[in-house]
Amino acid sequence: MTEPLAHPQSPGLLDLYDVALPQVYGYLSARCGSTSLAEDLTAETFLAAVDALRRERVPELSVAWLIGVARHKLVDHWRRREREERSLRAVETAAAPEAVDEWDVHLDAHLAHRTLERLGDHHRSALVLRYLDGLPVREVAACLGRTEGATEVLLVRARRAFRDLYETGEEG
Amino acid sequence: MSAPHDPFESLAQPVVPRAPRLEFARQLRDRLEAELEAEPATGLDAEPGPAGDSPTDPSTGPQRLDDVPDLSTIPVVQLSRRTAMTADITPGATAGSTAPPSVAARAVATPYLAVRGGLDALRWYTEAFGATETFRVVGDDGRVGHAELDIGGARLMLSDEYPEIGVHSPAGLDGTSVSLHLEVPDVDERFARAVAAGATAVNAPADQDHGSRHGTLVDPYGHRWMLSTRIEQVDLGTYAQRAAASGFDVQPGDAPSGGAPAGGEPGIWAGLSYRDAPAGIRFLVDVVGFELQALAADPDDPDVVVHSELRWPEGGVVQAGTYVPDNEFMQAPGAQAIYVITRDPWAVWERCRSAGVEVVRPPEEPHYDPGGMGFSVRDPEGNILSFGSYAGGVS
Repeated sequence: MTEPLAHPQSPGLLDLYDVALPQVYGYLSARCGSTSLAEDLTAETFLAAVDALRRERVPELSVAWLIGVARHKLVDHWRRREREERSLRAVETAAAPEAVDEWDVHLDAHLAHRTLERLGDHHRSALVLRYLDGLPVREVAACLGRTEGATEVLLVRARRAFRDLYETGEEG
Repeated sequence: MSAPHDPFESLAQPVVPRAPRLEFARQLRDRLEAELEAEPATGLDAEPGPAGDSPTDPSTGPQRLDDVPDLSTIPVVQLSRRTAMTADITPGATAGSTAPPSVAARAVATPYLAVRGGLDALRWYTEAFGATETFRVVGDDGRVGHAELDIGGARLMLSDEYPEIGVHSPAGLDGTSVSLHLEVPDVDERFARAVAAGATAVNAPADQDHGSRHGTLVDPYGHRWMLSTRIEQVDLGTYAQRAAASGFDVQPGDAPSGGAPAGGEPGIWAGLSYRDAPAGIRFLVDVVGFELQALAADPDDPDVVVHSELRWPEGGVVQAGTYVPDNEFMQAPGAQAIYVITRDPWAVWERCRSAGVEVVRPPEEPHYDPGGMGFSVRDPEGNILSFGSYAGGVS
């Protein structure tokens, strides 16, 4: 019988757990609108962190790093769901989007979140990363696995889709 | 000039800490402790990550705090569902499918029965009503926390009574205020079978003014069922006349919205033509599972079907008729193709397979319907009938 060897880094994550958990959960629950989904993704985030620690692929264990993992988990979830639910996609408007229109409104926070929830997963991912998380386009592109050019186009479409839904309000 | 106002900037949402449920926090901590103590799974560490492709790989330069490992190289961790910790989940008889909730083609209100003696009740509904149990969750106290039944395409949910949280069954209430209206292929047969299994007959099956034959019974758990079979198509005027004789005033309402019509609603009916229409209709009914709800034959030759309406139990209508070469509305037999949506394509497949029907496309999981199934067969005169669980969803 041998005692299981304690991983040299293992106390770190548990020490950080009480501080990091509300941060990670807070980040996720504000973006996914469902307690059970936020819990599942929170658990996935921490378990992925355990795994990354084992593989010694963690530069510096911190709340910020965990939130980065959570962000990937969220995007992965939306991507997976989009693949499952929308692999047959309605035909997108073939024409390339026009240049960004000026849109001078003050968004109502509640309606804006309802609108985000109604958007397609690919559009929602782009807007959440760019505006809620405040990432520069380069980092949004890295997160989504797209080129910066493709990400710019996606953001224009996503803004357009958001605006259309927002302006039709709660109906439909 | 000032920079244009960008309304999207107002969406910025810094991370606001929020405590999850205590129970969740505790379970996740336990899970992490266990994971951290456990030996790394064999092969996990041995599997080398692709060099240089990760933002955290030292070879790619200085690290930023919010850089993350390339998660595509991390195995997906399968989490057990929360319910599994307290309950035993048994998938039922939906062959080939592990997903419990079924896809509804339209919005539905599903009856949720509370019964005293849930496990007995599941057995009883299976025997007496020919229900298929598709899902079951049993608590550690032996009570059924949730179960789902399918009766000829009608979906029901069921649980034991939980008086402590206000879920009462007819046994505890000494009666029920809601009747369940169930369409069945043969009301007399079903009624007799249920009564033989212990149901109490209230009204024996009898023909109704509106074109159905009804029987009412109360099952051993106190639920009141109205079993119904359509026996004739009655238009509203005829029904109004008949009802007036009994002192009732019939008023049409608005058309219902959405969904696949089974008759009486706007929608699309598919057409199939046969040289031997009676044989084609027998095939559609006996093998495929359509229900014949109306038939008009040529008075001079009963084998010539002028019109028929075959109702798919889950929604939709097919018209089958005798092919008349000079009828400008008809295509020759074999030229038609229809797609039928069903929650249980495996059941239809089993009927087709055991009847030796010609298979055009064996069961497969369509790329647009992950977890679903579709297949196609040729009917006796060559028309192609496709069946599948895919019920739309392009948004």
